[in-house]
Amino acid sequence: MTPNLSTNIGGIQMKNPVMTASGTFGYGPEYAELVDLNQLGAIVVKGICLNETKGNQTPRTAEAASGLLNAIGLPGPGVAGFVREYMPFLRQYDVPVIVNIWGKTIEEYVEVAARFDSIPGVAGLEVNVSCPNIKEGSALFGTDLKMFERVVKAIRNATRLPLMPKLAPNVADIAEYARCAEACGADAISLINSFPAMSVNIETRRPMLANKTGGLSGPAIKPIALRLVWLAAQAVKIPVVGMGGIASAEDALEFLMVGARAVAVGTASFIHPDTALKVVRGIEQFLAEKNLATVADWVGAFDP
Amino acid sequence: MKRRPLMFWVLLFAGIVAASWWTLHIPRDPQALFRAIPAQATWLTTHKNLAGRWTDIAANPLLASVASALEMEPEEWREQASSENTQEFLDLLARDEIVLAYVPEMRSTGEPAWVFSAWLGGRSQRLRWTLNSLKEASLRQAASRNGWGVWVWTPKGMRDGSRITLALVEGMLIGCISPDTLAIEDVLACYDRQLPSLADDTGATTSLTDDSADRGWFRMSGPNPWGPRIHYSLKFLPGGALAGKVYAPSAPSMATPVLPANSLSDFSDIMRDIPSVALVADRALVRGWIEGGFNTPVGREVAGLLHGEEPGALAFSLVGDPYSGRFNAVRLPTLLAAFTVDDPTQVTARVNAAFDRLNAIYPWGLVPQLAMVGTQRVYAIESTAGSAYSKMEANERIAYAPLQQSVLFSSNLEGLTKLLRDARREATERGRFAEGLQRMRDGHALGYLWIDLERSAKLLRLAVTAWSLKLMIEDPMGSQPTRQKLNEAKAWIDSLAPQKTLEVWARPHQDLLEYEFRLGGEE
Repeated sequence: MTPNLSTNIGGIQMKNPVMTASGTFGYGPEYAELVDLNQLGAIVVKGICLNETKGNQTPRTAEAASGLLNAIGLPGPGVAGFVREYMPFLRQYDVPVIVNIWGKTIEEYVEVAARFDSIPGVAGLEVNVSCPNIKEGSALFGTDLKMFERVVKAIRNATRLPLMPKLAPNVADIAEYARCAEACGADAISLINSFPAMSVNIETRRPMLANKTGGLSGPAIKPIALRLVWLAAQAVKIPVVGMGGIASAEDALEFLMVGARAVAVGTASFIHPDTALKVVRGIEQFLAEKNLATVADWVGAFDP
Repeated sequence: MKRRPLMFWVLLFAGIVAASWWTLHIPRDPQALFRAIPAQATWLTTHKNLAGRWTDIAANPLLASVASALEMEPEEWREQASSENTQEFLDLLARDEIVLAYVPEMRSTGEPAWVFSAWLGGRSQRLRWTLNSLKEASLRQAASRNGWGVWVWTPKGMRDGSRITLALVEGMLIGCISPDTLAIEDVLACYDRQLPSLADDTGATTSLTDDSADRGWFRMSGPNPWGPRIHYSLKFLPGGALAGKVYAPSAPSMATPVLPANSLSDFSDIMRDIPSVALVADRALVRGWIEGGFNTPVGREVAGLLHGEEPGALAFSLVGDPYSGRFNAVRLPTLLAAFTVDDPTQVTARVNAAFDRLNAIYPWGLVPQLAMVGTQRVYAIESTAGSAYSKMEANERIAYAPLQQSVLFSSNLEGLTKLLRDARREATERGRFAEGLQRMRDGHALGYLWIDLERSAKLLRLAVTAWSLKLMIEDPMGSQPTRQKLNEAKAWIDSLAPQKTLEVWARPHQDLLEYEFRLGGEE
């Protein structure tokens, strides 16, 4: 018996519960020759803001033990550029396209969300709330509950697309943010974003990244992510998409077991571009071995 | 010899008169004219008393122009139109009513044919005797079909080897023009009610919308012979003008809108007397047409841009030198489209959003690039897709400018730039375009079209010539058929130029849309 892997994340129907993590899979074409995009559960594209951005100075990445430190700085073509250059390509595939959006102000978030609202081929929006808020000072949208509430509410009012805020890991109570997202009308939540971190060179006495600090991703953060996903999944009824260090089907099954309705493969795609597809096949095989008919039968199967 | 009483002679005379009357008189039955026309006809035209009106009709310069487009010299046309033979021919066939129809496929032959029927009444007997006694090489009597006498006439100069097959039935001459004389079998079978005819379709005969002497209808070919038709009527006016009405199916709820007095006044100030073609229409009407007929992503975006809560108008104009533009280096008239918008400040955002959506569907990569004409913002629409359009010169690209009440799109940036510069320089006086807007309001119309035929013919002729030249240079042999068609198009353009102006008003008429037009004559 072939298990049914399909799942629905806040109105986005997916063939399987494995999507790509934003920022690790480009906009799709970069991996299309290596991976059959149609076999993915969904593609989450690199973060898009209102206008074209260049990102941070180099070096932007540094290797860490069991992980990757990055401060890319969200370079991108802006809404119009993304729609113009990438959407015709992505529309060729039978896979939901989730656009990760970000802004420097709430108005920018709203503007970006509104512009994507009627773009054919966009299945949903993932809201990156971890960028600095220039207009409101140095607070981060993702780590200030009031700001978080304001931005999610504003975006909710600007779009009819399924909305999935991506939660920051460096908060005191992740459940508060999950509940807040649900209360503000989010259709799902995803977590976690990379963990703020830094790396230095003792010879040069300089930071390893031009931006000084960056975000840590990869297997190093998986235990942190797993805990946060477990806490968030207990706090809300809306679907939770878990990510953070997933590199194998076993990793993904752990996230699903603690309550994630779907998972995203991130840093591992840099090492093996087809990791996400291997995860899909591994989940399918595992469910078949356990004689489970659907992936939903495994979601939340954790026995604490 | 016994002398007959007077009463005998009176009765004998009355008997002869009665017999003659009985033989020659056939009660007029106009519906019978349609019995001869196959139901699958796609074009029908009926004419009353053509013979009596022929002198006036033949003098209409439009017919001479049409004849010229059909490669008949004007002198030859005048000669033939005014000849005694033509008048006699019309006296014989067209003193009452004549019906002509085009049938795209006759059942018997599978070929197209022209079918006609003319009411002769008692004169049909005289014609029968004439045809029987006539010694003419081009006319021969064929075997009768369904009991009706049939003659085949092969006049000289008929195209495609077509022949005219005639049949005389009760008070009517019916016939068809087709290379295959077998086609008359369909016509007679229709008349004898063995095949469906237009007489079986009340819509084809009774819904001819007015009692004009010249009227008819046409419809698109299709499997359903009773599909919707577009009816028309014509009036040949003194002075060589032609007026008429065309009735097309329309939404029943269509109401006449009130066009606000200042609608498109900003565009009107730019146009002044410049355009040689101008079309003004109710914005909601055009939007409805686009939504109904062009349900594509592009159509939906255009309809979206035309959306507005307030009554508004949309206008098209065609302008020539010095406001022409170029397309791949070929100089062409500039086509302009302007429509009122509820909130002009939102135009750029709405256009950008439309581009976003189209770019998401098609690999066009449309990008608006700002260019300033004085203080006026103008956006040239560029493409990043590497297509033929993206390789065009910047001045050749489509452009738009948000105006005070409306937005103006142009087929090229060059023409738009010149228009905006000149509009700023010259005093804004009431021009031909503004008059057109007023005539639309006065006529309570949903739409109004005005064409300066002399100027637009010149424009179109230049454009066609330039295009033909380009084709000849690029592919002398391969482009020959296309260039031939372009030459024919030029002949038609020239044939209409002497009419000077064409005006068309569109307005609701019951559940139809009425297009009233006037071609030529004094304004």
